[in-house]
Amino acid sequence: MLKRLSVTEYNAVIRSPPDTVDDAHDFLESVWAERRDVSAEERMVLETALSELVTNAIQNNPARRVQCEVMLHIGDDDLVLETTYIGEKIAELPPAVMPEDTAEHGRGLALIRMIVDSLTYRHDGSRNIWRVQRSRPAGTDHQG
Amino acid sequence: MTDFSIVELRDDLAIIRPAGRLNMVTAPALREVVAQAVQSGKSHLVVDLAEVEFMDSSGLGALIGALKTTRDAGGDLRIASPGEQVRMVLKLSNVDRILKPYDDAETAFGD
Repeated sequence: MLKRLSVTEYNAVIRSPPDTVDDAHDFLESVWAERRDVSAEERMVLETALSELVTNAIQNNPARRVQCEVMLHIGDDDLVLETTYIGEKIAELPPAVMPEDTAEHGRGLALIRMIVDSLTYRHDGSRNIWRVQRSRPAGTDHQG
Repeated sequence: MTDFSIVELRDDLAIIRPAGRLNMVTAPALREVVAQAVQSGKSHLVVDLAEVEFMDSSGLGALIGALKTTRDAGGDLRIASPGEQVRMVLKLSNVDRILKPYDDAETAFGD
């Protein structure tokens, strides 16, 4: 599943069914095995963000087979995670705040926004594209 | 990826120990395990998170649903021993306000 395009970019495709969000986790674990320069905190953030994005892609398309393309860029200055899947434009994004304490749904995007520098959404006519960006601390040794 | 073991402490109290990831794949199973435990009389439950390596908002939703299930039965649910990632998710989501993490599952209902 892991395909290495360059020193800094890693790609995977989650096909659900039969794949699940666990396959997204397995993809990141395969990247971490190569990229030991990604800190524990950065891994935690990326795993949380990707899990939420892939879960949304699968849950928001219950009637169709989902093919979610995942791109992870690990640069010296920032980390970028992008998920792309075919689907109708999301007319209204959920609010950026946490729902009430006892709510059982609706925390995913709010959670991502709290741990990354930016979360953007766009629709290119047929595909939903979510992009997460987080800066990396200066002076870190980012050797792959 | 997630297994659940259950340890009975009293007639009305048990510890549920998930392991692995608590996400959209495994959260329904946690809800089911909790529902079955409550039906069998275990209205007080501790979810020991020590072996949960990752949790997302699906896992949070399952924990909150499980809390409601126990309270509807006149009991309660507490959580114990979350790791670093689980603790981060609990804190950022404010769920730690209604599910305070206890240090030890065995003594979470010691009050």
